[in-house]
Amino acid sequence: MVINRNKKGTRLELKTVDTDSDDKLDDSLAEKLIRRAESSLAVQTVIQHGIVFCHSLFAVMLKHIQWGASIVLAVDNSDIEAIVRLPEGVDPAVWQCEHLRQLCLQLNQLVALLIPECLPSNEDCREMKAGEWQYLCAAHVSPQPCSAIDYIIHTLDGATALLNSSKFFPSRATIPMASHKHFSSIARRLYRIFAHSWFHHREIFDDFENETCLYKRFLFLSTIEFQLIPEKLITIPQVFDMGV
Amino acid sequence: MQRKARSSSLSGPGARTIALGWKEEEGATSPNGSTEKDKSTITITVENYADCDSFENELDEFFGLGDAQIRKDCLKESCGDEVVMLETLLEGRRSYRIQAARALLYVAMGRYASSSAKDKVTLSAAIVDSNAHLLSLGAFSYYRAALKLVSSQLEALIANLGNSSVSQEDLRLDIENAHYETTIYLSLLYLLITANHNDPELVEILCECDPDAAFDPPPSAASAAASANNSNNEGTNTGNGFVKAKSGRLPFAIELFEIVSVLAEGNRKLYPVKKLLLLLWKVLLVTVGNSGALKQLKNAGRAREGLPPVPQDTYAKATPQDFHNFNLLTTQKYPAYFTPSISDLKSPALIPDPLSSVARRAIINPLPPPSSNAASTSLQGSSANGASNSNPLSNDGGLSGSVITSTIQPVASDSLLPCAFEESLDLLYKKMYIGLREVQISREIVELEGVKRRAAEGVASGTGAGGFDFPSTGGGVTWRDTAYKGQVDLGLQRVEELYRYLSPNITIHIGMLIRLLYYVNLGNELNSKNENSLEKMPSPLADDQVSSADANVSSQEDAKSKHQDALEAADVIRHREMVTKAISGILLILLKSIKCDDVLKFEYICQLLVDNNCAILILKMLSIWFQNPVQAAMAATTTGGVGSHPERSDSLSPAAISGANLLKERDDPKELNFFDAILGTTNVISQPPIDLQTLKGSWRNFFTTINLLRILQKITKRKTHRIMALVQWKASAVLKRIIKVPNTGLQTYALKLLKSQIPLLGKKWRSSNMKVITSIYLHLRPNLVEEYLSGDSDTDADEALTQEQYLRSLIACFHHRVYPEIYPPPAPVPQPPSSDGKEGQANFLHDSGHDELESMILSTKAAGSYNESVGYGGASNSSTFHALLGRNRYAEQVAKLHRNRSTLTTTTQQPSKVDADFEDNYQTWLREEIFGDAISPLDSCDALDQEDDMDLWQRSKAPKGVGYGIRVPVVVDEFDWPFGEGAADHVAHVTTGALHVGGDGFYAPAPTPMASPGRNKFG
Repeated sequence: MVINRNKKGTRLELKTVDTDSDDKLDDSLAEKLIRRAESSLAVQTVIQHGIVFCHSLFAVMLKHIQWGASIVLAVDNSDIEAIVRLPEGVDPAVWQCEHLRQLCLQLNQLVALLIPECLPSNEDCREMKAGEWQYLCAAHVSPQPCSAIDYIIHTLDGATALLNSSKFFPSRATIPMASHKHFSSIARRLYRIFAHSWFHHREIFDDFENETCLYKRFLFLSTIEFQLIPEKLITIPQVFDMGV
Repeated sequence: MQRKARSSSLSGPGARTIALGWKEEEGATSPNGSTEKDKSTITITVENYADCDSFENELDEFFGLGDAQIRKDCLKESCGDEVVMLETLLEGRRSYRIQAARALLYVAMGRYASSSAKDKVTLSAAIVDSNAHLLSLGAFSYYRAALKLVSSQLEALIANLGNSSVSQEDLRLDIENAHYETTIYLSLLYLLITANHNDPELVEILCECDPDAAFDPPPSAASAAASANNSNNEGTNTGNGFVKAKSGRLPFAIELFEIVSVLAEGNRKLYPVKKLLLLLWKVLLVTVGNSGALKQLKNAGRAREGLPPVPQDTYAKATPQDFHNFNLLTTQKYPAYFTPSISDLKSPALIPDPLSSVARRAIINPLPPPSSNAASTSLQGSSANGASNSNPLSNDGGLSGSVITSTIQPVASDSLLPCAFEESLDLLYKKMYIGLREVQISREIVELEGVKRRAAEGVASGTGAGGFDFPSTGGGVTWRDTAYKGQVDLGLQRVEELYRYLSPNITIHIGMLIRLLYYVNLGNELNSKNENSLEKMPSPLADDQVSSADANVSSQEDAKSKHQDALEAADVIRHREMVTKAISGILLILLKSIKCDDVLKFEYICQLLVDNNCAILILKMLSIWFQNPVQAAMAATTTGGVGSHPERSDSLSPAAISGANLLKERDDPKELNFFDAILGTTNVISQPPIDLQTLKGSWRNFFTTINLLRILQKITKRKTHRIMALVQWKASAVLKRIIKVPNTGLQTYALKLLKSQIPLLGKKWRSSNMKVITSIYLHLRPNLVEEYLSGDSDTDADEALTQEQYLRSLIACFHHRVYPEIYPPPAPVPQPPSSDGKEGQANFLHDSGHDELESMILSTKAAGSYNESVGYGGASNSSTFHALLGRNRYAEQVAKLHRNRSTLTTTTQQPSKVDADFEDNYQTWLREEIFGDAISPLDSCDALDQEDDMDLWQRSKAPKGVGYGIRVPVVVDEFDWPFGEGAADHVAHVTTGALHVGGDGFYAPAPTPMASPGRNKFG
């Protein structure tokens, strides 16, 4: 059995030592959990685990301390890749679904940061704009020109509802074929949240990104790993070195 | 599937040698509709009456004069990447949207300005390719969202039209822009769907519900102002009773329907109606399937009931009703011979095993309506009795006891029956065909009886659970018999879903379609410029002779403007024709597909059509189109716009084909044709071969006409009441003119319509129209037992009305049972206050026809009074569901029927007051005291075993002294009305030869075949 509890006094790097078998590192945790399929939340656990341990500021510090390097806050691409890359034995649809769920969860943080700033009284935020594009909120019966913050909230809520809906995503272990095409539209719409905040609320975006690297991860997921968003629709100019 | 060749045409010297000159049902395959060239007269050849025209022609017709401007605009756009363009379609700013839309349209039209597009073939190939590509990019969802967007904007704008606070000029401009945008989107959608209609994925895409509106966000404070104008968010009941869907979860077809219906609400000039209707037609076609798919659908529907699929090769069909009639007839004339009764059809040898119990029931009870149920069941009882007790009569000419003298039939050895009978039975068995409709209707009848009974017993009606074989389920799932195993066909599911979503507003939709049909065709004729005229009409063209008026002008600019006028005139005509074509296509496809699912849904739509005066409208249109041939020939010269050929008029012989005006090939000005406009071949005047023998017909008008005839035929098939209406409107005159057109498809359906009317038209008509009858004989597939020539139908108007009422009540019951949330229950049958007949007896013997009728009357009146808002009430009466038997005319007639009860075979005088327990026990009393048999009193039987009880009863009460060898006569008459004096009177209604003309088992046959020959004679 995989022990995943943090017993008191356990050191961090030993946390995930498996009492059963020989491997000690996180990525094999992924395989282990998934192989055993003990819970339907296995994939989510893996992703979140990956985020926390590969990616958090804390983990970065830890790694650098471990290796004696100075504390640099640049995040390695390989970390992101490690999180996003599809492990063996996992259904790609399930993987995408779980990643998108995680994205929704974390985006809420960004939205919370935006709410005080992204007011409809601002020139740019009266409608949902991102650069030269202006979007209509699709979460209504017929598309409406919601204000930016409304658009963001509606879209995020809509995406969450869709991913949670039992009609389109009845189970977390298998996803019906018909629902595969929704990933693309969800990704596209969530992308716009990033786009708007990049173009019009740059500081907030930067802070958030430094802390969570969410955008980078999302981009990796959507463009490189699974082609959810066509290249042409990536409006934020490429400043990161995304290399494969 | 081969179509048997026609041996002769109408005008040929009746070569009647070949009896195989019949035409396969149009719906089965898309037959090659071309006629053979007749040697002596002109024929009109039309290629392939099929589901839709060729790709090129349809594109040609889709675009009109106004689109040239749009095309010019499109050329200006630079095309970016398609994905980006698609995304831009949903931009907030209109200008960007339009840009992207135009660019996309250019792409969808095959990028025609590029050099590769040289001629029609390559261009159409390019179009198909582009659209396939766009589809793979997911264009459909974008288009759909864009259309929704602009539609809601349009509605908001129109809602503001009367609003004085908003500048009207701006509004009008905005509205015009919105129309422009809509046109582009509709064109995009149409191109996408038409080019990809063979793609199976398209069906999936079209049918899925839109996940975008998976939830309704609460309007936040910031957007509250924005949404104040737009009330589309919640499901509202607008004042007209039009229920708007709550969320966007609709199949695309339904969304289009809604747009069509909303058109009626406001000032909708300039809306691109033609495109919308054509798009809707195409969407339905793809969703439901073409003719081949429909055939499969039908077989799937049959499989659902356990019936075998439609046999491929029957020439003539026999129904269980025929079998039953045969049985009756022979037992009456030849009481010595015992032909197998209807219950013998139960044997699995005849009917395949997986037949559901309901299907079996349908076979066994081919006369379901209650007034004759008694007769049928008792007849069964008696004949079963007779058969079981039969002594095989040897060939000694035994006419034991019967005074009917009949000739002795030759008997083959070893058989009980004469050769002739054997042959007949053989044929009947072989040709037996059990229609899906019989099964479904009989099931519904049982339900209805159950409902009535339960209502009478005070149990809440409508939720029949238990007690029967078949518990009813609600919520849009038609129940399935236990005999049925396996998966419901996907196609059936789709059709059912379509119907379910269509249901809340179906009256409005149908009403709207009919109104459109009316306005387009006849609105101008009446010279009234309607406020709600839905298209831009130039000054009313009374008929097509306007352009000849321009012939006098001579100067150059006038020539140009004359050209322009002619173009516009031709455009208007074409517009009209296309709209009609689209509507007829839509209606036909709807009817055909729904029938495969459940016949009562089909009947409901037919009922709505009838209530909206569709039948009259079709007849009127047909009569206008097929006017006097001579006049048409003259008018023919002026049509065809610029490219008409003066010599064409000479080629039409004086005995021109009527309707030539409508049906001749359209030589439309090239500017109107999409392909020609693009390819720049507008100046080429092609020379169609002037062949005196063949005129090419206009495909679309033939299509329209044949569709309309088919719709009319579907509406009136087997419904005596409606056929009577047809007769009253003198449909035969129009139909006779139509027959003169030498085109098979047209003739077939016109002949079918005539055939159904013949019993009602009278002897004189028959004798003066032998030619028509000849052609019916030659060209239509006969039933095994044909009754239409055998004499006048003596079905009364009142009886026909009863049938109609009964059908309507069946429909109401069905819809309530299956879709309880959409259709409220038909008013529960109240206890008739004056009558003492209690339905709660649950004994069909006792259920006199009188009581049935009375309760039906009361229920109809009650149902009629439960009227909701009127909605789009067609012509004169409300078309809401609740006004089920809405017209007062009906109610009056029914009341008259009530008074004039002598026409009913099963009525009697008002029974005198009798106390309750006598009623309860009178059967027992009768049995014991009058007939002296001590049989245990019948338990209250329910519908299912009442026939068995009947058997018991019948046998038990055989009069003493009468040998059991004699067929026990039907005793219904005696015991139903022990109080009434008229007991012997209705025996007189036993008619010998009057098997119900043309009917199937569905209706109460006017002369109830309560054959009691023995009793008749014995008195």
